[in-house]
Amino acid sequence: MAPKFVSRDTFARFIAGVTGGHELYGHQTQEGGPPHIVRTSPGDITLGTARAVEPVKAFVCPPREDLGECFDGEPVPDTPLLALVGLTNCDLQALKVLDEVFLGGDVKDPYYEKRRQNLLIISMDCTEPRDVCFCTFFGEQPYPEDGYDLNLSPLSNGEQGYLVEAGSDKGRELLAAQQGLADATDAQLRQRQQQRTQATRKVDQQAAEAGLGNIEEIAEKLRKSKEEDAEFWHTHANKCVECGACNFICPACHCFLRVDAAERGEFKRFKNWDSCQYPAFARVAGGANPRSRRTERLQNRFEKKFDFLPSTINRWGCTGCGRCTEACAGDIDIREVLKDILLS
Amino acid sequence: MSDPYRPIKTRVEKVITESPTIKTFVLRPEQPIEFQTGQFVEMTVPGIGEAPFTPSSSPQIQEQMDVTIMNAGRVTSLVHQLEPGATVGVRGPYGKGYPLDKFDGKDILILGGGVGLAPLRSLLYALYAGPDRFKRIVLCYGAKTPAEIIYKKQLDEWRRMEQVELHQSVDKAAEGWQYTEGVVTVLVDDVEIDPAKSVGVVCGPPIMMKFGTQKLLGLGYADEDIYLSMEKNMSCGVGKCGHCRLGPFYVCKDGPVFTYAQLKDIDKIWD
Ligand SMILES: Cc1cc2nc3c(=O)[nH]c(=O)nc-3n(C[C@H](O)[C@H](O)[C@H](O)COP(=O)(O)OP(=O)(O)OC[C@H]3O[C@@H](n4cnc5c(N)ncnc54)[C@H](O)[C@@H]3O)c2cc1C
Ligand code: SF4
Ligand code: FES
Repeated sequence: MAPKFVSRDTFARFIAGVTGGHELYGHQTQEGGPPHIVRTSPGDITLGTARAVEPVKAFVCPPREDLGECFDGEPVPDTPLLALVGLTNCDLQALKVLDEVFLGGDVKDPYYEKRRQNLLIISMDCTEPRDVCFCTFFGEQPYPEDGYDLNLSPLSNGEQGYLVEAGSDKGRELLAAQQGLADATDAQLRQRQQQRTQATRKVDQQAAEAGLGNIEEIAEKLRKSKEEDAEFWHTHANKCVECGACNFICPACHCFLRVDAAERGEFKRFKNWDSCQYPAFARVAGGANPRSRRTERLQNRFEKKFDFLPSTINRWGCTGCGRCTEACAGDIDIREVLKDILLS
Repeated sequence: MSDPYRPIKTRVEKVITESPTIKTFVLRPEQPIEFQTGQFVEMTVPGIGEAPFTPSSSPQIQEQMDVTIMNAGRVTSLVHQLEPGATVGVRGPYGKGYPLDKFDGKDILILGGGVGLAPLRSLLYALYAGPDRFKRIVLCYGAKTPAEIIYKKQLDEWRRMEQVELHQSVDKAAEGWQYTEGVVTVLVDDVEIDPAKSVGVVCGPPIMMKFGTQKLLGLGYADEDIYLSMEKNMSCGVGKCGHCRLGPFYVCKDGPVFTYAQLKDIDKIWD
């Protein structure tokens, strides 16, 4: 199905048309800042030029998932149909990691599964990647090629309308059901191509300036390095204030803690986000802790992303979105750590 | 959709005090739980929390399950307050237990320390359940003091069994202690066994696992013939929550029983 054109004037109507029956979440962009994904209505969406602050995982495994009563009650409660407008390719790549983690293997996480099935993904091209973005370093590009239902390519930031492409059966059906959409013209497709090339170039340049070299090489060094006490690890780890922001803002970090609590006379179960940067993450009874030092915990974060996940699910645990770099209270820049591993 | 995080409602049938810090809980789940020896379960105190434990009873009994629990912290101290009739939750079993088919035709040398005897008791039941399958089972068991020895009744039973050869030590002896004083690894010195025709099984606190493994390696056991039960922080039990990572493994799903061959190249396995 050829990409269609949606004019600026009809954009809100188009979004209303394709997201009917869903709770709508979309970009809200304020001058100069990154977009936030908020509960919104079709007319209020203001697409940003790159990824939002909130990672996609917040919508498929929320910070505190209520698993219901301890023994009884509905096995897995229904969750609403959600439409997310403005996901970018780094989030779509992260979804692939989460899918492997929660749906792969012998046991599926039914809470994740239900939310995932109920997701309508309307993604977009990044037209002005953020300074911290380095997705092309992982062989990706700042626009989606798969993993979406519908993808939006804003032309001149939407001034000249949007190209819409379907990437799934659901997306094709939705697009076909919208009356009176013209096929994208050759000139529009050329413009999309130009914008995409430009955005890719910007990210490539940023990755090159960060001196990262090649991810395979970094992963190899990380795997082989027995020299866990290399100075650079301490230098970075000493800046960590153990807030967990890097993990929580990361679209691919998936760790959680099963928690029980008594609430209003009921025994309840929860699944809460957890952070491997917290001191007690690996602690066992009796106080033994294989990762009692910040250095070990920082290394764990990198081993998990660049060794464990690629070797177990064949995916990097990082999509180059740069969120952790922006969020870190201690100013730890993931690119600098990667560079130091490369140079080690 | 079934929920892997939902426990089966379970009644505490009986509480046996094994030592000042260790109790055995006889559990009756509403639905029988079939497990292999060495696999573990997550036990929930409703509204309070969960912790992983290895059943200490025979895998052939499904309608009832024993867990032997040391009072070690927040959840286990509350477990220790439970009385017969209490309701808990059990989910599982999880992970990989002892591969008994790989033990076939071999002698079994078992090193246990402290509450580490819990999974080993289940293993022993499984080993001598099949008639004549395992002709010689050598159990070396160490506790800190005579007062901290658990399963005193079973130990007496095992001492009388022809298949089982029992060696016991305590770190610190007391009046009337008639066996060895010292750490459990010294017991192995008294055992005559051919490493090529046996497997070694080690379960206990990390320090004991470390020295136990070194001892077996010193005797000439092959890396793949040493079986270790690893304890790591766990939460989900099903390879999702990320807590129990050990090198390329999740202990909950790839273990908790590993061969030393699987682990030896991983950094700091004993920490
Ligand atoms: C596979 C396996 C089998 C086991 N089998 C047995 C057995 O048969 N018998 C036995 O006695 N023991 C067994 N254990 C050990 C047992 O699970 C622990 O003793 C138990 O988990 C202790 O729980 P606790 O809450 O009492 O201890 P605590 O020390 O209070 O807590 C231990 C856990 O809670 C976390 N924690 C504590 N405080 C915090 C905090 N403030 N914030 C975040 N996290 C925190 C720790 O990191 C750790 O995960 C086994 C362990 C494993 C992994
Ligand atoms: S965001 Fe920075 S300071 Fe916070 S836990 Fe992560 S590394 Fe440490
Ligand atoms: S306990 Fe959750 S991954 Fe192992």
